[in-house]
Amino acid sequence: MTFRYGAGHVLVFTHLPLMLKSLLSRFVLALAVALGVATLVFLLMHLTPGDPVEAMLGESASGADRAALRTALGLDAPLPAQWWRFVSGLATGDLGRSIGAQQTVATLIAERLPNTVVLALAALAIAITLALPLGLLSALRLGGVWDRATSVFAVLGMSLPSFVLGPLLMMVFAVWLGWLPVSGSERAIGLVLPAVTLGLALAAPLSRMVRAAVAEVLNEEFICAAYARGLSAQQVLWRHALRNAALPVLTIIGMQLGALLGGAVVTEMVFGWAGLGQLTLEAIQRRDYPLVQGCVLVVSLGYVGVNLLTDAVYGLVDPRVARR
Amino acid sequence: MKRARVLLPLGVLLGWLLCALLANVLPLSPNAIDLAQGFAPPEAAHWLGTDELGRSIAARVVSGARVSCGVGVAVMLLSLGIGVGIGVLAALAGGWVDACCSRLIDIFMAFPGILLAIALAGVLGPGLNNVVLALCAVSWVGFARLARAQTLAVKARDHVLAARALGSPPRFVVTRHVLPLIAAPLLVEASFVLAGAVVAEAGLSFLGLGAQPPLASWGSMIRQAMQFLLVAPHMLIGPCLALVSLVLASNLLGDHLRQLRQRTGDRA
Repeated sequence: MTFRYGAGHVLVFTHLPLMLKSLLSRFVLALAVALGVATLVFLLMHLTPGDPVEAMLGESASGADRAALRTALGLDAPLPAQWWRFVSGLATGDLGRSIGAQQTVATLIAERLPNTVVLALAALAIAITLALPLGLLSALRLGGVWDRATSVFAVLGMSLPSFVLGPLLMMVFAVWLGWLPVSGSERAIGLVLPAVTLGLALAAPLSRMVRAAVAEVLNEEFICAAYARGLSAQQVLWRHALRNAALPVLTIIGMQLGALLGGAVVTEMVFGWAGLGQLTLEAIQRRDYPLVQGCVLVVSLGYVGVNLLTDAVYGLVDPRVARR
Repeated sequence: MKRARVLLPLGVLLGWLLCALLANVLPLSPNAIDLAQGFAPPEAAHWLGTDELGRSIAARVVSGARVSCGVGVAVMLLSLGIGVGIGVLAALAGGWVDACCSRLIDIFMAFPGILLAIALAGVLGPGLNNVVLALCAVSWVGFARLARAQTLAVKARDHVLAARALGSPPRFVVTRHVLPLIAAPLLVEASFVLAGAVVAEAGLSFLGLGAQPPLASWGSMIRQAMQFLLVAPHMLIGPCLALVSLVLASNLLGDHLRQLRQRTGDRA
């Protein structure tokens, strides 16, 4: 490691082997969690009361039809065998076949996933542009005007679910002002309202956490030391405070991205955005169990993946992490 | 001023709880259909107007409090019980019990909660009992993680060690020496879970997975209002205001409790 002040901080990758090792162990752990998640989804779908075959065919179906569907779905095999088929299928990307639509679950999900990812990324961008400055300004002067404004914004944002904020925004900007389309995912402009709705919901907790993270770093001794060396407030802020606050902020963003994928379900419904959330709901309404299972699994695994990615970036930003 | 910041949210919360308790006693008729009065804007007879079937929105909002508060409180209490049970057990037992519980918590934490609740409620079928079940399956994890961490910290304290050394039975140690010490952070978490459960119930009902018609729920009322957004935008006001006021009150109270705890924590 080298430290240089004045010409900027130079990142030296002496910690690379250590980092790879810690990353590998994290990867193995994430894999174990992913297997647990898959098992849990499987169990939820198979152990919940109610017979999926009966739900799909209705009570009037004949015994032969039921038996045929049962065999087609593989429901006649013992539970451990079904579990093994499900998990080994997963490893090859096979999520089974949808019941209503005559397609594989993977195809259906692949069609809708890009829409959800676009929505989530747009919302994340909005949330970060709002939350970073707000959190920073309030941390710089705790109890000040910005701090109070941010705290009001955060509490309000966390108390306004997307199915309240969404319709309200829709009423103002689509119905009254007519600036934006009410719903739909065909045109890019249709992205604005759902992204803002989701982004605001995310910005609220994010601004609060950025504030806490920066405030904590500003209390550290090395900040005091930096001032003592005669650095200006600007230099201390950019070079010391923000760099160190980046770590917790990054984790929070990673964690929120997972929550975002889940929150997108409701937002997509409000705005008729043809993403994974809407697909999940359609699958639930059609009682298409393999599709429900696939949707929940893909989002959950995405969540696990994002957390792993956060950890990886973490190690890059801060060499100390790998050494722990 | 400082008092108002506690009393106002507390008042709102108690007000809605009162509405929930009295909704069936008050002379309201949330399901009385009067087609001639359909889509009536807010006026003296109907404060918040009427919906497409001419039902009073105000009456439906008050009786919707029953669903929201009922589900919220039920989820909070049930998941508190389950979560604290598992968390305290894991921390006190240690060893493989702790390892198993911790992995279980990790796996549940790896799910985006609302999605799991939606899938569960969808698979279990519509209805409020299933909503409570689905939300408990999601909410217990937070309590369990918190209870485990807090118990681990408290477990090492002298008075717990002394109690165990004196041969107090584990049940006595838990109820007399551990639970009172970890109650405060759990209370903070509980207020946020209450807010979260109220939002989630409304969300599930909004998606058509919760309360079924004609039962009034704020979530299903918002769903209805969205269908008539162009004809009768006033339908949106009542249920939205009700939901936001309850959730806001619960969140503010939680914030206040947390600050209070941090302050007393600093002094200790």
